[in-house]
Amino acid sequence: MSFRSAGVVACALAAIGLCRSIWFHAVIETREAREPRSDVRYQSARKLLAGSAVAGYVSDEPVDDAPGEVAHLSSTKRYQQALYALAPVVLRYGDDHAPLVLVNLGDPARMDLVLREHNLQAVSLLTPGLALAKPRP
Amino acid sequence: MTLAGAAAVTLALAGPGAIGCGLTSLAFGNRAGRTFRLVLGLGFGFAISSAVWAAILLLGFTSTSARIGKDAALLVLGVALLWRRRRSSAPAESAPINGDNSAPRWLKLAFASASTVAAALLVEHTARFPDGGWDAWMIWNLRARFLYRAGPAFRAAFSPDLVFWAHQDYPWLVPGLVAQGFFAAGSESPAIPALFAAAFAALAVALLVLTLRELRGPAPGLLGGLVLVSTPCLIAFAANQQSDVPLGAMLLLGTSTLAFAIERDDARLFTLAGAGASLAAWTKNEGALYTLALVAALWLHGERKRVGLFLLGAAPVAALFAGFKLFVAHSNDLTRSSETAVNRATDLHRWGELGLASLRRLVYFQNWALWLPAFICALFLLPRPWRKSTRVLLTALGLSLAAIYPIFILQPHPLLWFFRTAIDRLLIQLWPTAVLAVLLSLAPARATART
Repeated sequence: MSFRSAGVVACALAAIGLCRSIWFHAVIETREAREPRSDVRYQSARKLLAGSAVAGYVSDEPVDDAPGEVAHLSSTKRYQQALYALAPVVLRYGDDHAPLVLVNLGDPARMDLVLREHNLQAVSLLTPGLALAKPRP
Repeated sequence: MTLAGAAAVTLALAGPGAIGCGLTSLAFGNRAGRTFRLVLGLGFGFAISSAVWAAILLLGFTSTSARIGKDAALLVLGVALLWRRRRSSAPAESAPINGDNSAPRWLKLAFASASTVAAALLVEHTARFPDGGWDAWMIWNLRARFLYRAGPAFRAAFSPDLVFWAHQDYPWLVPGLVAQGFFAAGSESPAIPALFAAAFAALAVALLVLTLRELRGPAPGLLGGLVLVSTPCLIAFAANQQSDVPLGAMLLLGTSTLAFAIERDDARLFTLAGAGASLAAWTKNEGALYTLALVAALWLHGERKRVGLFLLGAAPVAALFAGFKLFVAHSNDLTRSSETAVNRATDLHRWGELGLASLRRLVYFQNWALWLPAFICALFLLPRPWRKSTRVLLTALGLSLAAIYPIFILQPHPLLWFFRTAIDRLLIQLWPTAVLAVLLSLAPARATART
């Protein structure tokens, strides 16, 4: 194969590759609605947790916390987004005995139930489905 | 911005720039063009800056003055290397002597158009997802925030109390750079990780173009660049701010230098190539595997005397990597499972599934268009015998893939889910080097008068 013929073939393949990229980024992607930045949900929590090194974390759905099947995508994503927004606070999943516990729910209507199940009392209700709580004495 | 702030920003840029250009000038002398040395030097400089900052953090020097002192030390050392090189350098570099000094106009136009389109798409995707893709905020930008916000408590980023998705065992070249960008800017603007992501993609393209231009002439250089910018997943992964494109760029730092070292038979360049490969290891765990594969490839292709020089260059960052793994990184999700590895390794059904999935991936148009089948065709059509630089690089890539497949089989996640989420990222890490390797044998050699 000569270099010149390779060049012609490569140009044709490059055109195909770029068309694919243009189709995806300039057409398909623009059909999806833009989501707000995940940090917005956790702004108040960040202020309240300032200075804390560790907080507990509970939810109304399990978080996938071991390698294997990804069975709870939305709740796992919610944990990761909370961690990203609140860093450097270490969020201990499942720890409802920490001095402060972040309660982060997929269904805001379940807040009272989850607080009761984990024997927590709300310190601050932040946004729908998000609260900072502490263990009941 | 205060005067002290402006000085800190200047130092944060000048220190890495100086040390990188100093090292590449010392290693290459006048045997490569200025633009190539500058781009290579900037790549080395910023990567070294991140690795040195990681080392001083791990040694307990977490203050602002330690970070600024690091930049100052890199600047002084870099200037000293440049000064030494200037004193001992030969007369001004001479131009290449063969006639292959220009690329056809259509190729220049194709590369310029493709680069413009790719840059525009990268900007569009970044504007749509300012925090990057899932991996960016789950791992890389998360770690940058820990490094920036936690101060002396930065080790919280690697806490075993975090859910394993944070991948506490991953090395942190990119988060280190992003965090230093936050410090320099005095803010956590999402533009900073996005700029680094774009810079790494640009580095990969520029380095490929310039390496091929130096070794084979402008036309092969532009052709290599055209292949890379028109690969669909390059833009997507770069805009997602993951560490895969940076790893590809760091590996290319090592492999492009190695190609020079082999073709020019230059001992110093083998050492610099080792340093480049080790920086790939500090970018992401897979980089360590690729470094070992390069060592094995050099050994297999009769460069046994040069292996020591390569390892010498890799040693400082390898020590950092080993220290991090031994004393900080607590566990790796790929090694955790209750099921025995022997069961998985001997399950022929798993191997069959993996083989089929791999064949299907060859024509995965969304991420690769037609580049993967074209690459395989090129391997068959390349003029034989392949040049030694091509043989070494392709052997290293082959060994890397040969090691990755058992990892797919042995890891504890569902096989096909893991394969689908990982394979394109692994391939884009290797892709710039693969394009370099093929074009080194496809294009005619270029004679130069550089000494």
